[in-house]
This record gives sequence, C-alpha cells and structure tokens, in this order.
Amino acid sequence: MNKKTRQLQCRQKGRSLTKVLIVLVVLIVCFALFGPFFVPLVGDPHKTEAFPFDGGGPLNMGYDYLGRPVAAQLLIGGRELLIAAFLTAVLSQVTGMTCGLIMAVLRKRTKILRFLLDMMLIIPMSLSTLVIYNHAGSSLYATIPIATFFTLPFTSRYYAGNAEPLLRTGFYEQAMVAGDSVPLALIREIIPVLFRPILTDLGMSMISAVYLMSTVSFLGIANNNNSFLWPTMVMQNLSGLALNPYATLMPIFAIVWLTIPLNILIDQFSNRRRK
Amino acid sequence: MVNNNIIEISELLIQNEKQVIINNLSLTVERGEKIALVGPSGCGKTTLSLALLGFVTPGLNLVQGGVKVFGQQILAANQKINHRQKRLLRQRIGRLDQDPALSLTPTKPIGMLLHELAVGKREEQEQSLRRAFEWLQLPLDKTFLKRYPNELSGGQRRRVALAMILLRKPELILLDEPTAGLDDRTRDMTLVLLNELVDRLQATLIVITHCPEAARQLSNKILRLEKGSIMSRDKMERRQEDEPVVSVNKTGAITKSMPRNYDNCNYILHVNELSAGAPNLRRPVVEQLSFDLCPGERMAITGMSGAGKSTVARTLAGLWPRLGGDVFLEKEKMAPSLHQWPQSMRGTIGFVPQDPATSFNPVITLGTSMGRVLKRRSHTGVAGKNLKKQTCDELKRLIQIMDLPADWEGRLPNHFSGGQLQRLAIIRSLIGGAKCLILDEITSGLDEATRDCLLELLATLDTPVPMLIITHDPVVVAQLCNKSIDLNEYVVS
Repeated sequence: MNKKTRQLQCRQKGRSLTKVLIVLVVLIVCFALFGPFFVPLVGDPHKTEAFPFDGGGPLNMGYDYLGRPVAAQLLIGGRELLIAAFLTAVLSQVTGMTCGLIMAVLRKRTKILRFLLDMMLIIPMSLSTLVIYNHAGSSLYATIPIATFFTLPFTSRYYAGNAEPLLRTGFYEQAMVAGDSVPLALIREIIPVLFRPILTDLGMSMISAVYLMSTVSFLGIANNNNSFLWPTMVMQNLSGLALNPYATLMPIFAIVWLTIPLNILIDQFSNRRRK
Repeated sequence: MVNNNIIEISELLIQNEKQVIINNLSLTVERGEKIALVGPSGCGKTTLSLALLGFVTPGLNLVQGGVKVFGQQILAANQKINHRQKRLLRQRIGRLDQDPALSLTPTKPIGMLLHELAVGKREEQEQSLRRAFEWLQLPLDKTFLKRYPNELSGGQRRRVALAMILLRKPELILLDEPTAGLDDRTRDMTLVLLNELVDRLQATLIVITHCPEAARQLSNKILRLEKGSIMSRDKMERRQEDEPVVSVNKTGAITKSMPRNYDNCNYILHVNELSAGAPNLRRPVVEQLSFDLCPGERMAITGMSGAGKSTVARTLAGLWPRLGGDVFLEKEKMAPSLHQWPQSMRGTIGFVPQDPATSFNPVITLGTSMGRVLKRRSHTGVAGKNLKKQTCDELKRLIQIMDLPADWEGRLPNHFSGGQLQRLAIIRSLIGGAKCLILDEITSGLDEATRDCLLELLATLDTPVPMLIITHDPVVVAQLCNKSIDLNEYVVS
C-alpha cells in the first residue's frame, strides 16, 4: 500500500469519526433539551412511586433514594446544566476575547489588568466558586458569572496570544491606513481569522463549565431545588449503588456523554486545521 | 570505499492533483560542489530544496523516487524514514531562507538565539560567537545582543542568520534566494560573505536563485529547472571580472540625489526635514529628508539594506509615528501618527507593503475586501452615491488593465499568485481614494518575468496619483520612475 493510499484511508477514517462524534453530540444535546417533553411518558420525577433504590420501573432504570423514577429524572436533569454551561461558555468567550484584544492592542498599558488577572490565577477555582456560590444565596445561575469570572485569566491570555501576531499583519495595517477605527478593524479583520480558535475555546469553555457546575452540585453545597439534577443524582444515590446502580451510573454516563465526544470533536477540528 | 556524493536524488517525482512539480528528477552532488538551481517561478526549486531536508510540502505527494544525503535515505516513496535519522541528517544541513527573519524566533533576543546553537563550553561559545560577529561585521555589545529580531534591519537579520549557520558548522548549505530584496551593493557584500562562509566551512552548497549574478558568483555549476526537470547543466568558471568589487566594509560612494526643482509645481506631497525611526528604537534612522511629489510623478527611494527605506515608507503612511519634520498632503499638514489623522485624511496615503500575501485578510474573499473599500468611499457625504458608482467603474477599469482573472471576486487570497496580489493591492489603494501611493519593494520576491509584467502594467497605468517607490532594483527605477532619491545621504550614523 503506498503512502497516498494510506493518507487517503486515514483521512476517510478521520471523516467517519468526525461524523460519529457529531451525531453523538447532537443526540445528547437533543436529549438534554427536549427530554422534559417526554417526561409524561415515563412518570413523575418528583413523586415517590416505589421503595428507595427499587428495581424495574420506567425503562428498567429503577428508582432513586426517595423512590422516584430514575428515567424521568434523567430526562429533566440535563437541560439546565446544558443551558447554564452554554451561557457560561458564550459569556466567557465574549469577556475573555474583549479583555484579550484590549491586552493585545494596548500591550504595555495594560500592566495593571494583566497583574490582576494573574492574581486571579492563584485563587483555587473550585473552592472560590463554592464559597461565592454559597454567599450568593445558592442561586443556580449564579454559577454562570462565577465561572466566567474565574476563566477570564485563561481566555483573555488565550485571545491576547492569538491576536498579537495578527496585529502586525499587512491586512490589519491596511484597514488602519484605510480609515477603520481600532474596534472596527478588530471586528472585521481579526475576529474572522480567529474563528477556529474561538470555536475550539468555546467547546473547551463549555466542558469546563459543565465540570465546574457539576462539582458545585455534586459536593451537595446546593439544596435540592437549587442544583443541577444530573450531578446531584450522583451524589444523592451513591449510597444505593449496590441496590440500583442505574441511579448513580446513568447520570454519570450522561455527563460523560455530554463532555467527551465534544472534547474529541474539538481535537479533531483543531488537528484538521493544523494539517 | 568512501562515498563522495553528498546528495543523491533518484527519479524523484512529486506532484499535486493538478500538475507535476518535480518530474522524475535525478541528480548527484559531490562533496565540495557549489550548485545553483535557476528557473522561473513554479518550476520546483523550493520543492526540491525542501526534499533535500526530507520534507514534502503539504498538498503535494511523493509518488516515486527518493533522496539520500550523506549516503543515508532522508526521503523515499513508499518508505517511512525514521524521525531520529532525519533529525540527525538535518543537523548537518544549514538552510538560509529567502526571508532570514523566518529563521529567527521573534520572541527571543539575538544573543539567546545564537547561544542556543553554539557548541562547547561557555568560553568556546563566546569565542565562536566573537569570531562569527567579527567576520560578519556585527556589533558584539550587550545592547545589540538584547535586541529582538524585529528590532534589526533586514541586512542585520540576514547576517545574524548567517552567524547561526556558521555556529552550527553544517556540511551542506542550502540557500533559498539569498539576494532577494537587496540593493546591488548589499547583494555584492552578501555574496562575498556567503562565498567566505562556504569556504570556511568547506561545505557543499546548493543555492536557489533567479538572480544571474548570484548564480554566477556562488556556484561552479548551474542547473536550469523548468517544469520540474533539469533542462541544462552549465559549468561555471569564475573569471577575474566576476569578483565583486565591493569590500565587506560598508563604505562606498554615495550617489547624489536628483536635484529638486519644484517651484512651479502644485505638489501633492511635501516632506520637510523628516526624521524617521522604528517605534521601539530611541534614535531616528533617517534625518533631514526633504522632497516633493507632483501629480503623476513617480519617485524612487533607493539605498542600502538598513538605510531606512521601509522606515520612511511606514512613517509617511502614518503606521510609525514621525519623530521630526513636517509632511503636507495637498498643503494640509499631516499629524505625526495615523491615529491622530482626521477621518477625512485616512486612506489618502495608500501603502502597498512588500509582502502581498499578508496584505489581504486570508479568510475574506477579494470581492468582500474590495467591497469594504467601496463602502468606505460611499460614506463621504453628499457625493457618496455618485462617488461609489465612479469608484466601481474605476475598479472594473483597473481590473481589466491589470489583467486579473474574471472570477477574482469569489476567490480567497491564497488562490492568487504573488504578482496578482500585488496588482490587487495597488488597485485597492487607488480606488480607496489615495492621493499618493507608497509602494514598498513590490517587486522583491518576484521572478524576472512576473516583475517585468508588473512594471509594464504600472508603466501604462494612466493615473495622476503620484507614487513613491521604495526599491533597490535598478530595473524598477529605470522603467518606472522619473526621479530618485538615495537614502544613504540621510542615514544617521
């Protein structure tokens, strides 16, 4: 088999894998977003219908620590986590990109900003998130600005690093010479070139947000009404792992399904760009 | 039996989907030989030089054949070469790219780059460095070593890149267009240095060039490539008159600038005692520069590498702040920096940089780029709409004159050749309302045929917009310019 045939086969395998990953990501997103509409078909997620950790039940997934159907909870448990993670990712990108571009343009004049962002890096993210979350009245969506704030040092440096070389390019200079203001030139010339890095970091931010929010819920800091259900299910049903493993393992599987295919897809995307 | 062949290429065939780049090429180079590869753009010179390093450019396929260097396989079709073997072979090869700045890591100071390559203990390294710097006439003080590559002139970068090769002591040297972008005097000095480098290292040399002078002076055999095949092999015998007349010391007669007599001219651009320098250097490079440009005039700014030609171009375009003097455009005084110019003045001085590939956004089609220029012009007040129509008509006319493909609007910049992009860059500046155009080394990096085509098109371009042409090429000055100024007179020593 010559090199060309091997390369073609590798490319075809890569494309097939990408398609599979896209399908997986779309499936889990649809499951999380539209699952609540199918809840009436499997039962009431808030009603005790059987003994704790009993088997059987809707889709044979059994019941949780309060005798509520696991399948129904699984269907409603992902939407808020997905939306919150997505909003966090978008907000994180917008603020990070804005900071990063300011740092790239103004450079030495942003010493104080860079210093403050560097100071944030030494604060342990998960611990601080838990403390602030607790003091913020344990609001579910308080995790969005908290997570955005703590990822700012990373995203701003990422975009500053990506944008700085582009500010020395001919096309950016041409825009300035032609009369575009700095913000306009950044939006029209620099951001389109950063499209793939933005997409890559958006995906990574979303995964980080899912993990951060799951940590907050999993550690049980939140009460039942103010937490994301999938990670809370893991924490609450851990004691009944031997009796009904589905109550613990299914939400873990759902969180993994939400993050890992997306992670690999982002890698595929980045690798294809490098080639 | 010792194999005296440094390079053995056997029936090398490299192609892409559309065409053959290297066409069943076979070549043997013995130790100590100096070979020049000449040929038009696209004939496969750079592809061949990369093949000697074991690389096949992405997008191309190695279909058959192979390359051996120092008796070991570095590239072969249908065979995977061990990475360690390739790395060890590459350590014995020194390569100088067309743009030496590419071999210098932009985020490291010069001193650090050089120390990374010097071998031996600290004292030996210092000695090797001192010898290299003395030979290359570079200052060996701490201030210079702390500079970053972008703080050096083009000529200094080139010499630092040569120093890096010298420190590595390669057995095979590959030079890719070593004299591109250089004025005659600097070219001759560079050729002297390169000859000395090869002789010192007793290395084998492969030089890719479309400069006949470089081919003649550096090589003892010329291979002419065309469409991936060797068309002819000529032996060179160095003659007495081929020896370069300029010595390594940078002294030489200063050409006087043309006398200025613009008393009766309604000048477009008036420059009075301009001082210009790079933003991160404290002292200006050029001082007391004065000249005027009248409508339709084309003035060349010439000078040695490092004289400050590009610095003057960028300063006049407003990209770098002016350190002193005044600039008037149509009798209106220009502020020192672009950011201080009022909106009405932006775009009035068009700037076409040396590298056309980076002057267009790589992810935006040319149609969109030009569309933005038209939109900017339409936002000019009452006459906006009429102006937009006029500008569209002018755009169509210029596209036709500049001989560009009919489907140019939907293409991305990487679908155009260097020459085409230069022409598009000129058109963009003209339709953008430029009252004066600055062209910075627009023919460097182009082969002779493409350069001549571009010059012919520019010469026939009927526009009253005066042009300031930064160049070291006497052909450009002769064909395009009706006056010139030598920047060597104004360089700060």
